[in-house]
Amino acid sequence: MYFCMSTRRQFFISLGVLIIAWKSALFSADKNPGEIDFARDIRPLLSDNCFACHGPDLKQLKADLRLDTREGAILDLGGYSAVVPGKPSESELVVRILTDDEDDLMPPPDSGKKLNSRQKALLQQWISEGAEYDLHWAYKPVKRVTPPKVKNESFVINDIDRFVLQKIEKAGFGPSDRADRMTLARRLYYDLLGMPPLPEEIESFVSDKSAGAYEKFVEQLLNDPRYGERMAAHWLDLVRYADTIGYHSDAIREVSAYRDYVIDSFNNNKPYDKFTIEQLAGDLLEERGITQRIASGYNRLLQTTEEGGAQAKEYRAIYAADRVRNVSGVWLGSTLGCAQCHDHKYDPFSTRDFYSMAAFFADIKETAVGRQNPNFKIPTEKQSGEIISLREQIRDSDFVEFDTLHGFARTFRSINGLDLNGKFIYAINIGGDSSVKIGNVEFETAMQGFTGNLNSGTGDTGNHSDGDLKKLLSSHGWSNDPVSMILKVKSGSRYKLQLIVREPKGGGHHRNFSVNIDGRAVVDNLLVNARPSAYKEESLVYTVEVEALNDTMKVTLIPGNAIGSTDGVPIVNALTLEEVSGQPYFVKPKYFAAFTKEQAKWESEISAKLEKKEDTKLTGNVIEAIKVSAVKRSAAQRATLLNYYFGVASATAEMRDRVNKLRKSLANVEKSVKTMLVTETEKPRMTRILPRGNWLDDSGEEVMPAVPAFLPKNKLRIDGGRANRLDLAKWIVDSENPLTSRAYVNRMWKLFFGTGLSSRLDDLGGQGEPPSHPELLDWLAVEFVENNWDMKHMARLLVTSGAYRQTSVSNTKLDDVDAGNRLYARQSRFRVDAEMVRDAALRISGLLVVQNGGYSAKPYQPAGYWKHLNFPKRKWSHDNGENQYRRGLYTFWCRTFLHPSMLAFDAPSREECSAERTRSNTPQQALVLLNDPTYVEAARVFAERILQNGGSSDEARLEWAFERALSRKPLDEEREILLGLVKSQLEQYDDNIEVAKHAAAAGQWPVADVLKPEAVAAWSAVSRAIMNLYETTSRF
Amino acid sequence: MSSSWNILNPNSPTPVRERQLAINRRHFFDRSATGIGVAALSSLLGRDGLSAVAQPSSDLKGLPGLPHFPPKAKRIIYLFQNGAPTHIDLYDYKEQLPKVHGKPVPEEYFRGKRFSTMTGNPAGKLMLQPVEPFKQHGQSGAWVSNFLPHIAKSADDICFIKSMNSDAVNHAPAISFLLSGAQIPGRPTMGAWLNYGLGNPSQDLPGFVAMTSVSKGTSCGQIFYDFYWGSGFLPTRFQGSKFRGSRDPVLYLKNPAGMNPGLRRGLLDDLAELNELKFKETGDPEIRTRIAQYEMAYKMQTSVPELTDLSDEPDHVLDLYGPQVREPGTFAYNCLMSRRLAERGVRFVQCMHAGWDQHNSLTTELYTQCKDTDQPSAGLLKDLKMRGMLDDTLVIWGGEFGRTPFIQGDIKNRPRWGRDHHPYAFTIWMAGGGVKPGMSWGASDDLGFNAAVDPVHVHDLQATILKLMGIDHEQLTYRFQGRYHRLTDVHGKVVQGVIS
Repeated sequence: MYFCMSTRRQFFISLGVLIIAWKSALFSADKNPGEIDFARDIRPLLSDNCFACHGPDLKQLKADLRLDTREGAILDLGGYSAVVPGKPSESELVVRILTDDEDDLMPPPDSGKKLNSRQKALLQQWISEGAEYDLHWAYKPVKRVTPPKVKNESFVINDIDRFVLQKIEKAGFGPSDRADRMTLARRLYYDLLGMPPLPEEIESFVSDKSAGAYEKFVEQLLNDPRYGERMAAHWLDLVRYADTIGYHSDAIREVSAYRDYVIDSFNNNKPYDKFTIEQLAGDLLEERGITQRIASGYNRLLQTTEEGGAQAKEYRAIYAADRVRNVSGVWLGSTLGCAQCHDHKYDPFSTRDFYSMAAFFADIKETAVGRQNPNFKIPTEKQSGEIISLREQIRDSDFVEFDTLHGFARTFRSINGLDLNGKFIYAINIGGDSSVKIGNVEFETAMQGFTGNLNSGTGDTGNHSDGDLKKLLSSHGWSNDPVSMILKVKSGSRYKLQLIVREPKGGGHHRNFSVNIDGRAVVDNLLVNARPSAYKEESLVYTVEVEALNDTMKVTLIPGNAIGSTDGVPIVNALTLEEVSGQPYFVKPKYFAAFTKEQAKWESEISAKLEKKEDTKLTGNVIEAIKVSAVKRSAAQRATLLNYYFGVASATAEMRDRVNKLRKSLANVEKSVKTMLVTETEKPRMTRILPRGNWLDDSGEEVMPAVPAFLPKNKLRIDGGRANRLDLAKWIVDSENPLTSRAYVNRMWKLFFGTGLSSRLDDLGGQGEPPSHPELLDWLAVEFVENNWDMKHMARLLVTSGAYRQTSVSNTKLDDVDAGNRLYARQSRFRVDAEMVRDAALRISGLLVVQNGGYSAKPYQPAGYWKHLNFPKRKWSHDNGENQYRRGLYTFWCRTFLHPSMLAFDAPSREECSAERTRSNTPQQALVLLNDPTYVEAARVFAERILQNGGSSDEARLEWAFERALSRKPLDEEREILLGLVKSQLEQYDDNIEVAKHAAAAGQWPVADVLKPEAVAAWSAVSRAIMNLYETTSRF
Repeated sequence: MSSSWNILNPNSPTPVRERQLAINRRHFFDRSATGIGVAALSSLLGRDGLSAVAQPSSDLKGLPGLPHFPPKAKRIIYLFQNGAPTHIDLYDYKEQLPKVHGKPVPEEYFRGKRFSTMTGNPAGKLMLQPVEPFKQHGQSGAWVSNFLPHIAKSADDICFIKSMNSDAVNHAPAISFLLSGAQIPGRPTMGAWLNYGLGNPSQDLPGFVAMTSVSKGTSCGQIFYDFYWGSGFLPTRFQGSKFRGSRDPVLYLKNPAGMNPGLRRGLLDDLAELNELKFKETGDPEIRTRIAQYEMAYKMQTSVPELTDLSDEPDHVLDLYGPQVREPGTFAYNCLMSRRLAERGVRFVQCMHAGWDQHNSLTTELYTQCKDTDQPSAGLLKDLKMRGMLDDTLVIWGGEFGRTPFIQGDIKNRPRWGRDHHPYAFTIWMAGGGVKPGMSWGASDDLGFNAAVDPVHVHDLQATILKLMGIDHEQLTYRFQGRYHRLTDVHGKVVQGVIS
């Protein structure tokens, strides 16, 4: 079809309806001729012409008449009914559509709606046949239909072909011939891998005459890692994946790990139900590893704002609506978003359904207005190793941690385990709900001065032998935010604080945390590693020795700056505090004696200077401290001096230098770690029905999470508890959900056949298009569910069908009857998607860097293209090296200023769910392919390779080039044209060597110096001609 | 050939006919059959040789038999005002309104009518007088709001249609309705139909150009969907080319280093030949479009930089359009571009400006909106007139519907006064191109609520526009999926009264 459809269309009623009104029997559902099918013939008619006033939207209901249900239609309206089944002449509806009286006529003339005579006849026929109502097709249970019998059995490869062929035969046609091997190979390469094949990739298939060669080839492609990339592109359109936030400043955010998750999922053939659950609720799964956490980033892909003046409340409402539109569009193929301000006009979705759906997402923690801070780090193995090593080096250096503030504290992992022999001032079970006793120590739960929220955990207790400690560890408290407690102490006294920490057993469950005492970091981003030997007592206790500066001591536990697969929550289970005296608990560093001596000397020198009123170049508080005699100094004063002198003493110089370098390296590694926005939860925000969608209006009723009331299995929780995203996700992929499987197989059909069985990929509802092959759609949907949502199985089934293997060449007879190719009596042919256009050029030239995943890439882009981006102003700096030659899929996706070459080939901005892309054919596309430096460079490099690998004669070179780009040899006419082109270009470049040198040096890819520039320039014209052929970037 | 040919309307090519025409042409130019070489072919065909091969004749000359009548207008500049300007406050002066200000809207005016969901049921809504006084202007005595002083001065060149009405109550469906005749996206728009029917008289620019702008500081800019200038089921070469709002309206115009126009020309000639070969094999009409678009792209490499080079525009001309004309991407700049495009023969310029959706900003943003559009619109008329181009250039100014004569918002809170969507009566104006100047056609009722005298429905406007271009709207059709489609669907009556 040529329909130029927008990708942002959720507001619009569909083209489908129009087709229904006019279509010939050819395109309609299979009913006997003349028989009325409510879903096909009547519902769209009523929906279009009547439902606005007599439909599901009760607020707009006129004359108390509903025509969307049979009960409503036959209701006694006081001696008469709109519809009297079997009796059109007694039905008021018929009277009103036929009358000449403008006041009575329905639909009212001023509505602009008008029934034609055929439509009027249909309505009468429907009533005389009994006025049966039937559920809209997409809401009916999915049922497997027995594939029909067909005449031409030899065409049938699998059951899909029976459904397709039956219709073709009914229309009086036959299927098309099977396409040749080369065409099939290219088709499969574009459809499954998203790029054209190189000769060596298809050689064996094209020459393999054995039975099953085609299936073998398909299998090979399904297992190629490029498959995941190709399939991901379509999924990323749906979930509106992008590298910028969308609104206002359209600031950059890092979420590429989600994109890679999608690629991996397709490659690993993750079942669609699991794929769904992980994205919507990966964070709520019991078994949640890095993969599930990253998948949950789906919930963060929406457009957000950082605009200073924006109102948080308004944006909360905008985000909620965005999520409802997306989840219903992506998974249900429904326009639930239309029910934001009023009940849906055409489908049975109510405003309550809309806000109940929004309530599922009310627990997502995010910034309403402002930057969404990365909350997940994904270091590579190398980075993890470096981080751990650097931290250990810092910890093991003899660096004394009094650099930041006024105190003196040191942390170390206790070698003796938990010391139970102290006289504890405090022994606190953090977050525990019962008091625990270990030895003589009672761990209390109550705590004064406690701030912050702790959730009780159910940690694995491991195999520790001590039952009470086990209990203590199992009741650890965790929090997403810092938790503080204020402990009463004596100023100047020394204390030993023991932090009892749960270390998880092996696996990917690392956590880390920091502890501050009076604002000073005593435990700095301490990574609690998962070690195979966990739950040995000695690995559980960290001891801090600290001097109290005041009468209280504020201990703050800080969630980890999540590293690795950490959960990023503090997991300190308990702490003890006791006053200590005598020798410091820790061993003083070796240099300490020298340092103390040096400091005393320095102090006396300064004192002397002060007496002489010389300038000491010291700050006031240091001078004040020195003035006080050593024995009389307060703890704070001692700390001040220690702190200052530690930073300048020669005794510590080497160590300071070493540690500073380590810290710098650590900071650099940490900065380079890839981050992600994942889903974290908080207490669910209240969700109200917003009257008319007005976020200022607080009068609406509060709603709890719920799925649309009219759909099956809508009671998600029998226990009456609040349903969550996990419940929603499970409901979506319940085998009884009629929408999920239909929506997905319909889109998959479109990927391999050019048009969906229902052409509106984003609306299976009343304003969508009834499927051209309803039984086939259902058959596929059942097949999908019954095979455990196996996506590769479906892809395999579709591309191995006989219908798929037909030639795409049309004929006049077929064109006249079926220009849109909805009979599938031939394959479709079309220009490939934006990403593939790029991939083809890079692949053919040999520039493409094939590598799964990674940061988004910045190819060449016209200077100043981003100049209107603001807050902050930014510049596009294209990537150098490998990232310049990545697949189109990885192109940095800026929502407001999408890369112009991608845009020219109809890539969507991804502000909203885009189920279908336009396929335009414009002069701008020609300019991209001819002048975008990416394509200029690719042509140059392709030319070099032709000259280097194509043999010595021009004929041989041309053949080599054709094989590489088009998988075939040139025709005689093509040969003649292109050899003529080489000749004429060579003549011109021979006279203009300087010009040729420019042409032969296009792009940043190293120039093949051994070649003559005029030859490269001339052959660049040929390579460019080949790369600009319609055939090269089209799928036939 | 199939016998199904005979049943086709000769004026109504289908994909089949397209293909047949192409095959005939190909036989004529078949190189291998005639033995004419590429160079010879190019010289044989002269400067436009390639385009003759590349483009179906209909692209250049239009369909055979068209125009149906001698055209009054050769080209159109549609100054489309997205968001729906308020007819009540700008053009449709009603003596009665101040008298009923603050009173509930009488039921007989709205009974049985559908409003946007923001209004729902208008019962009890209060009437709202215009926010700015009107004056009569020119010999014709047209009433125009003081917000539009420049358009007011051009009143004697303008034909106001005050009885417009539409079916749609929301923006995108209504805009789609006005431009394509259907509320749903996916039908060919006016510019596509005209280029399909009449061809593209511009040698080196697309026959259908779309430009967009938004007033600065407007709080409700609408999105510009690409189907507003789509070609629907017509071949994609008829879709509007969207020019970007910057000094580089089209990117990637410059040839890369080491490529001069001569070399490029040679390459493109061969490329077209090669693509023709594939077309011969497959009959895929998209290949024909591709060939035509490459040719157009080549021409645009010269024509677009020349188009946007304003150094030949004297200050007194630029000043006609107001101060923003020097700022690419503004409505004023686009108006000037529209004239330059029209001068170069472009058949249909669709200059869309968003920001007219004053739901709660009548007393604040409407003024800015008028200021940004008033002088440029009037400036364009003056400029065209000065050059003698107004006679055969039809300028259309208007939005997708009007605004409610009653208030949206709280009548006590003047700074937040607004009006909701209103399709039952609104005003658009046309000038030049065979339209009677200095007149008003039709009228709304005493409250500006419903089209009362000589109503002009959207399909009637479309029929009239086609008539001015020399086309019988019932005869310009395209067969798709078993049905002949046309811009006016199955409706539309030409408003003879506005045609001079």
